[in-house]
Amino acid sequence: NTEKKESYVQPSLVKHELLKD
Amino acid sequence: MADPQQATPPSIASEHAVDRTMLARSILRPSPDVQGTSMEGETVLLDLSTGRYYTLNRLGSVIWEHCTGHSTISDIHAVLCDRFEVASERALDDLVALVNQLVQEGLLQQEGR
Repeated sequence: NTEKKESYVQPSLVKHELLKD
Repeated sequence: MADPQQATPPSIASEHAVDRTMLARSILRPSPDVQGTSMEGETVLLDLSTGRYYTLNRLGSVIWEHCTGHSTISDIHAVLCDRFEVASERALDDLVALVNQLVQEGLLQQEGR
């Protein structure tokens, strides 16, 4: 199997401001 | 305008944390009030119950796409190892950390099967 795998980055979750003064 | 912030750090312990002995039986599904939209490989999650929104990067989006109520954490781990250039241990650590964050933020629900 020579299928090329995708590059990996650390999964991240970013929280944004409340839904705006 | 407030800066975006990293969601709950994975180092914070919680009663909702993923039980690593239950990875093959822990099913993940989005919370009822959460809507997600994918754009250019990233995902925006909107929690209608709190008015907050979140963004997931490319890998987070792949994980979220598999949280449909049919896949266990072990299933998703297998997908990551099969699709990405990553060591199994690191993929599992990162996956559990992200799932913990999603559960703690109320975006994901986990249930046994």
